[in-house]
Amino acid sequence: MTPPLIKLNQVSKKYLNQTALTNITFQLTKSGIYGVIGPNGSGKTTLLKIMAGLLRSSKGTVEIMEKPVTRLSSQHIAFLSEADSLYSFQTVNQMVDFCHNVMPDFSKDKALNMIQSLNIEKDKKIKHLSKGNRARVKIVLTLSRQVPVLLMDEPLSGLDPLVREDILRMIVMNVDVEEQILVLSTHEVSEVEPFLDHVIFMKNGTCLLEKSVEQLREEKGQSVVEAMREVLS
Amino acid sequence: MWLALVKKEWQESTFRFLVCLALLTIVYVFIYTMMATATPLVVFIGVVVVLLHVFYLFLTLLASLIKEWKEHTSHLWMNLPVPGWKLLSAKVAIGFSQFMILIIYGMVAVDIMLQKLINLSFAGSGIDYTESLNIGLNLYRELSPWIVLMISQGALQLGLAALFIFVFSKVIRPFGWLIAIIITFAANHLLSAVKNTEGYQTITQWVPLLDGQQVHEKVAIHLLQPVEAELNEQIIQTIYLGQVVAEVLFILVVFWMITWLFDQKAEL
Repeated sequence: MTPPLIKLNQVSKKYLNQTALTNITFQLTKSGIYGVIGPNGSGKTTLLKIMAGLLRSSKGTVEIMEKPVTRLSSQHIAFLSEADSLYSFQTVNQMVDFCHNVMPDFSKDKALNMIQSLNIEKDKKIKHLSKGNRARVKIVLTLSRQVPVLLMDEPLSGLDPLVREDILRMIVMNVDVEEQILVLSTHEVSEVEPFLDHVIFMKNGTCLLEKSVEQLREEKGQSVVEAMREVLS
Repeated sequence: MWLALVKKEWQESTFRFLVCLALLTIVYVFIYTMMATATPLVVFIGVVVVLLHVFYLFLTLLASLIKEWKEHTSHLWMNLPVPGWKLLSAKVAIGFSQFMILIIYGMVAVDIMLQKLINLSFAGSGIDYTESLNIGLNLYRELSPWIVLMISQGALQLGLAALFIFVFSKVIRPFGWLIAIIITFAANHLLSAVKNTEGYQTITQWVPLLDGQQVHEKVAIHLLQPVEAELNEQIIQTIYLGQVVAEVLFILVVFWMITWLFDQKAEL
């Protein structure tokens, strides 16, 4: 039996008096694309940061490959933040070189190919790129890591529809769904639905449903959007 | 890998460093031109400049870490598949290199100022300071490596304190920084007490590098009046290789503890 790649057991997170997550338990065992879906403030970002080892849970345990998650789990996990997290003083080329030199799992060729196909100027400083291009570069750098787990926090947030479509296509084309687990959080389901293999519905810091899209269709005859309406309403 | 991190830290801090260098140049030029007429002000500014050097590493490390969080680059930085000691030591290496450039620049500036002081006329004071100042200048040059070493030790310890306070503020919220400051003061107090024990001195006082007695005699004989020389306590202590080794070990152990906290407990 394959051990679960990511295992969350009774995970809770509190910020002072505010509860962000309550008793989250699930296991991600199969490769593919997982959608963490829920309204704003449902705890999606906190959940992803805890899975990346960038936040500690107040209660419960998180394991990746049967080891407790810490910051050093970044050897197996690439995390994409919703925020602009690139070094604005570097050019795109410098940023790619930096990642290539610092991350042993980084494929420079893959990154440069993606950047070229997206027509992004490599000699431009990150701070001089448009918002859409900054988002593209950020995603290129994440997708160029050959790691078993990719966590993307709202990769489409704040972008116009054309850019969103473009970015989504880039993500789907460059994730190895046979080998990698991609967990992406979003509060807008319709765009990502065709690409999802599994869904995790969240509301008020709790996980309401964790199922494969196939199961949803077979057992309930529901699409992800329909299931979301039922579960989150 | 480490060099790529160092290069990134250099790019990030260049502007800050150059501003510091420019400000110091203005201050040195001011002191140089005003030293004959506004002695108290010059002395005051001189003291401030020395303190700035000691605190440079502390301030630049804090500035760099705060910037990572403020600009959200910490999301990428913390997710780099690199052990904490490499991430943090890259920051320390750049901060310390800049500190060394500044301190050497400052030492040269003081040398030039002492030379000017010798050339200045003290007409009306009735005392000729030229010989004493010449001896002072020679002594300053002879002792300058030790001055750099001592200021560097203080700067490194403060740099470690900055790292500890910042990392701890990301471990315990919301008042981790305050707890870290208290721990730093308490640990410093404890360390001073340990250093004063006979046991510690026995362990560390081997291979004298700088004979404090000799230096004191030189200072006393040449720069002070005979009566003052007798009364004056020996302020320059002997420096032993054992003490240097102990300090280095201490710094490494504390650094290791900070990197452990960073890797295992720190949060975004």
